[in-house]
Amino acid sequence: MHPDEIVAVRAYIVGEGGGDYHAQGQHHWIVQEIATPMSQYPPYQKTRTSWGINVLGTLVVEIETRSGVVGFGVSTGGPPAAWIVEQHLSRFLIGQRPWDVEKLWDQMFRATLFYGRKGLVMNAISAVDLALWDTLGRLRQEPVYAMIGGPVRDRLRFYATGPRPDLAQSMGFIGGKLPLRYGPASGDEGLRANVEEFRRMRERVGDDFWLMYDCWMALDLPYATRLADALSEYRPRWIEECFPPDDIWAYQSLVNHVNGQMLVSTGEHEATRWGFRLLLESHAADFIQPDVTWCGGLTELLKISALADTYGAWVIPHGSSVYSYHFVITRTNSPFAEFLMMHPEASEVVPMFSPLLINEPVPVNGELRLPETPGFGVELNRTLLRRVRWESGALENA
Amino acid sequence: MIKITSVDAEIIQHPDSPPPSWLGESVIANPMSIYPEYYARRSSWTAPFGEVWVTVSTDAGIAGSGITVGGDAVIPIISRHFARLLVGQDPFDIEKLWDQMFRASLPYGRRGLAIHAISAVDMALWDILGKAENLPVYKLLGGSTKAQIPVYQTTNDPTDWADSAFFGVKLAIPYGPIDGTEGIQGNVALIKACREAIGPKRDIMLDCYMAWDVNYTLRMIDAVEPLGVRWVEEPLPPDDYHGYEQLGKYSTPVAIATGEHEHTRWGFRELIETGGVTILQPDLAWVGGISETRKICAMASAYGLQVIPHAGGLSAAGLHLIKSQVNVPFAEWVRTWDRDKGRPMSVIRGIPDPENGAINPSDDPGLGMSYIASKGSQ
Repeated sequence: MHPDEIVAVRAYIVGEGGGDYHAQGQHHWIVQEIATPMSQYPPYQKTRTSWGINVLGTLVVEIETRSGVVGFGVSTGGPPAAWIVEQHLSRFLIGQRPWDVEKLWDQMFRATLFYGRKGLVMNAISAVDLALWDTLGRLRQEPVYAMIGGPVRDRLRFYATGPRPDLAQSMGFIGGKLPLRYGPASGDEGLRANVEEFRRMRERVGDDFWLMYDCWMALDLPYATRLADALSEYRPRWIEECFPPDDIWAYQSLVNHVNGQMLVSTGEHEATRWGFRLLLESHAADFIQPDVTWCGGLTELLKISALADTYGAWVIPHGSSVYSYHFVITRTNSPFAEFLMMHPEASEVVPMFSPLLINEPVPVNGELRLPETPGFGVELNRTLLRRVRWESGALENA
Repeated sequence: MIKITSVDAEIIQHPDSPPPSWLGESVIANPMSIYPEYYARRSSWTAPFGEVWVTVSTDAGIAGSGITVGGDAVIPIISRHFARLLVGQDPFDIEKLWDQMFRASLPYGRRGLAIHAISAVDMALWDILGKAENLPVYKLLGGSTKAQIPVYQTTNDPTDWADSAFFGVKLAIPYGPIDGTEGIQGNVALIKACREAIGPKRDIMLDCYMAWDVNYTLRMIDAVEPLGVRWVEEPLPPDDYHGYEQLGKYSTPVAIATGEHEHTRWGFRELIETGGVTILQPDLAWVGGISETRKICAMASAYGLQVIPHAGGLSAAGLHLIKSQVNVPFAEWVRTWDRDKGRPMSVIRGIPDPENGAINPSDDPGLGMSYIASKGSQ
């Protein structure tokens, strides 16, 4: 028996906040009217919670070694993901050493091929993988970034995602990404309102501040090309996730259409090196935005990043706080990071995964120096954790 | 208008725990074969899922049923998420309801479990439609395209091979690249034994369960082509589209089949566009249900490809779909129990067995399928 062997794998779910950005009260900008793939259905147009964007909730996975070292990882996935972790993935982990990340990832992926590949199962694998890296950092008393190549710059720079790029500018961010409010179902009027919002914001922030639009899979190709054409005089830095992730051919057409006037990005809802290979190979995006808590974890993000590097493409991870920061600081093709403005009015910098993490760092004046705390450098707010008891499906306090 | 009043999902309870099947307990090449500790049995690594029975009830007193795989990992998707999109809706609006389930699950779906969940609900909606119209589902899907559905049998058991009513035999291939050249010889020996046993007139197919790579597949094709193998099935993992493209460049009469672990029309578009796959094998309980399989059949037809649903002869939805589609010429059937121990009581009724090598869906209204809850369940 090795002191570092894994003896326990525990999955938890969480109520509001945490890894599921959309588990917020109705007053929060992130759940109000924002264009989505459901916007074409009137009953689901006004709020994103109306169709269950927040239905799964946070997943926390905790790994414990024989010597008593405990690390954890975070994703979205709630009870079904917790089941996958505890009832299936755990058997590939118990009795193993946490530094066998390569083998453990591969076994989890292969063993779930028949019901996984993308989505929920990859969320579960991501949380386990991040927990392995956190455990490993605590064992070695090193921050995760020190174990994956070390920093290539001394601090992180951020752009802010939220409805107030003008406020983000005054807080020191390098850019602001607006959520697109109206989709194709809102017609010409909605299109004009989308363009007007962008124009108004451009007027406020001046010429040099980056402005972007996040379209969250809500558009079709005809609408996206019209939107891009109309926006171009207000110089968007990029236009993000215009189409559902399977519409690779629409992305390809949009890249060709805008012809470098703005960048086309996507990838938040894509997973694994194979998914990103399809995007990169078909030049469906100028740069990619994997979410490290969804795409397969840090082990997979490093592979995705190596692949993107050979295409000269940036990797700007979607959200995900410290799990993204430890990656971004180590990659030359990840020159800046996203900060999701999780304040209800996007008027203050608050921790992205609040209230789940303790010691979660936030940018100051749009910048952040990462501490040398072991692992990902954060602790769990354990009062929020709930376990699922499978016999009854009932929740219990951790 | 009929309205959906509730959506329930439960794990199917069997009166006895099902006896271990040869499919789980013998050496069959698979993606985990490269790890010695998981080499011998697929049951050593597969998820301990229950089958899920989904019931969609309506205010007209009609309830529809569907089946998928995924146990406690799939039930919350149906009961916590899809139920809210379905209750109060007209079950006849199946196109809209499918689309809404797909769009609403995009952030965590697209492939795998979320699409399993959609599949079961979709089957249940078609079941309601059939019952409401008092017609078997295949008559709502375009009617009969063939009087009888011919069946091939998937089995490595020489006693099964002798039943010549089945027009073909599919072998679960034991060895893959990890077993080297000796493994190729072992595979060829099995195929040769089968050919000798069944004679020249019946088909042989090879199921490779994602275990091979491109070069190994080419070596195997060369070795078995003289034995008259009709197709090689799922030689590569589902994400290796480029590998299927490579296989398509190799000139051989042995067809490449795959698709059991692919999901939705978009996944099948990727496969079709490789040009390397000529037989598509969606599983109705995993791919997105009857609605999505019908779209895949339409796409395949435009490319001149055949669709042979995975385990279609074991599925009520599969049989209705097969009956109704021109480019689905026959069905797969597998004996899922140990022949020596006899057939256990089935709690799912209404899925006919093949007779004299042919099978047909039930002619009862809907899918014709029911779940006889065992003692101790509920």
